[in-house]
Amino acid sequence: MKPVTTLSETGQPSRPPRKAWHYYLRTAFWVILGFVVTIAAWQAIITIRDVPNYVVPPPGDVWKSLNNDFDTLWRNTKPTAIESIGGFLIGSGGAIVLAIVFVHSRILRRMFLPVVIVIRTIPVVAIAPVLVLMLGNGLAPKLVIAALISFFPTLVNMVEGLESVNSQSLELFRVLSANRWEVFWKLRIYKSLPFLFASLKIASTASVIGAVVAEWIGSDKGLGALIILSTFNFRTSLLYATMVFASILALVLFAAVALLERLVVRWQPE
Amino acid sequence: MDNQDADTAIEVANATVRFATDQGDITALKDVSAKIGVGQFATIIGPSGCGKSTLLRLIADLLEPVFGSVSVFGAPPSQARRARQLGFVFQDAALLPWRTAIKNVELPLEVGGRTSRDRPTRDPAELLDLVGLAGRHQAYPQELSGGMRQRVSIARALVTQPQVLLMDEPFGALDAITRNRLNVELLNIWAEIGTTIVFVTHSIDEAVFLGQRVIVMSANPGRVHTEIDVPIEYPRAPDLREEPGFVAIAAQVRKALESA
Repeated sequence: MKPVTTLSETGQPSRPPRKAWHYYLRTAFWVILGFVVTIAAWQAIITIRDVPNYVVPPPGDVWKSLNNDFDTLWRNTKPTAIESIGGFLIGSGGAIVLAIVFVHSRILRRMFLPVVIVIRTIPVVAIAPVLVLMLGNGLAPKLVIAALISFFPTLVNMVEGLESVNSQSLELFRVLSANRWEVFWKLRIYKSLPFLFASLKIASTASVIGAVVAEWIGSDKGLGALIILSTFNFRTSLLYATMVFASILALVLFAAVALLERLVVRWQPE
Repeated sequence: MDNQDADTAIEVANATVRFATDQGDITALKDVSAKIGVGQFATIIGPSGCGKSTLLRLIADLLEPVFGSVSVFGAPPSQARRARQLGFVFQDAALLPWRTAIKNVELPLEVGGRTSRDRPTRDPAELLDLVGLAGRHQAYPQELSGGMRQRVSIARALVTQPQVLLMDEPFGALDAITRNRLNVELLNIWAEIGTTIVFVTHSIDEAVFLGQRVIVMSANPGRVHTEIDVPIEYPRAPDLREEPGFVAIAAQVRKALESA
């Protein structure tokens, strides 16, 4: 028998080159400059228009509050973080499960997807008082509201992701006599992951909004409660410092999801 | 079953396929009959819309005819599929981007449940070497060129040791140089494993170079127009394309396509 030729092709594409450290340094420079310019503009407008401090505090006062009130801010960040993360996990987890159910049952999907969409149209601020009435002032209503707000983007994206399989992949699995279970675990799950992470990033920051809104309505602790308290006491510097903490909390959650994505989705989605 | 059927790998008899569309039913194949012998290399050529891919999908049990019948080794295609007798190579490789080359080749061994057990299989690593990807086993599809991806997909189709290899314009998206090289390599692989191959293409050159027989199809509705034998000995070398015998048959195929 004639040996089989194993000619290799020219022009092997390689991995995308790793970005050099000075690339990151340059990016960081522009990002920091953006913040500096924004804060300078803030200070300038206050000075030029002579805005009173109790309406909009100057950046310096907010900085002072961040230092002086750090203990208060940190103490109130913890419950909000627990509510956000808990709600995020419950909401996204539930959405993933429901998406899997919807993909496998056309009837259930036809019945309940409209219900889900109608519930989605109700503003969170409208649902929140109802839930506080139902569930009291404890952790439960905050978890539910944060979960609700994380639920919808994840559900919609996960359904889309699980169904994003192309016809050739499905034909391939059919030729291989794969069953639904195998199509799900070897194809659909992987296809859905980029979609899932895109929505988890949205849900992670949205869950902080949910927790804060829930705290407005019935809570004596947490960043939401601190926002209400500092507003009524005209402590606008503390109010702004609280917003900074809420923003940092959301960014940390976002970064955690983005990091997880980099660890899990190691291929380039088509 | 008479004696003649023992040599028949694939038999399509008076098959008609229709698709329902928004504009009403479309007849993709009308009354198509074809017979392909065991171990034969048949190529199917025709204009776009002639149903050549449909015919291939009929044999692969991806579609069913509304009239007529299809059999693979005397049994319905579904049985051949479940018995792992069919390998399919898709137009755009259809590799899973989250799997390395070797993992893609292993996929057929991981799915198919009970049907796949106790069937002879080939070593995935050995197959990747065979298709010319030694040293690239751990590469992800996006790190491979189009030609390399199609090599991986051929290895994947061969891992279950299919008796029938169905190829749907596998080299259609590749440049001419890579395509010619892969044609030679495909013939070498065929010489080694000896399976029946049905190869769909829209290139006259490729159809004549590869096949023992060229099935020419015509469109609207898809029918088998004519069949042309290619009585050229294997192994076939790339410079065969300049020889008068080859040129004559290619001209014959071209005329058949024009009159189709």
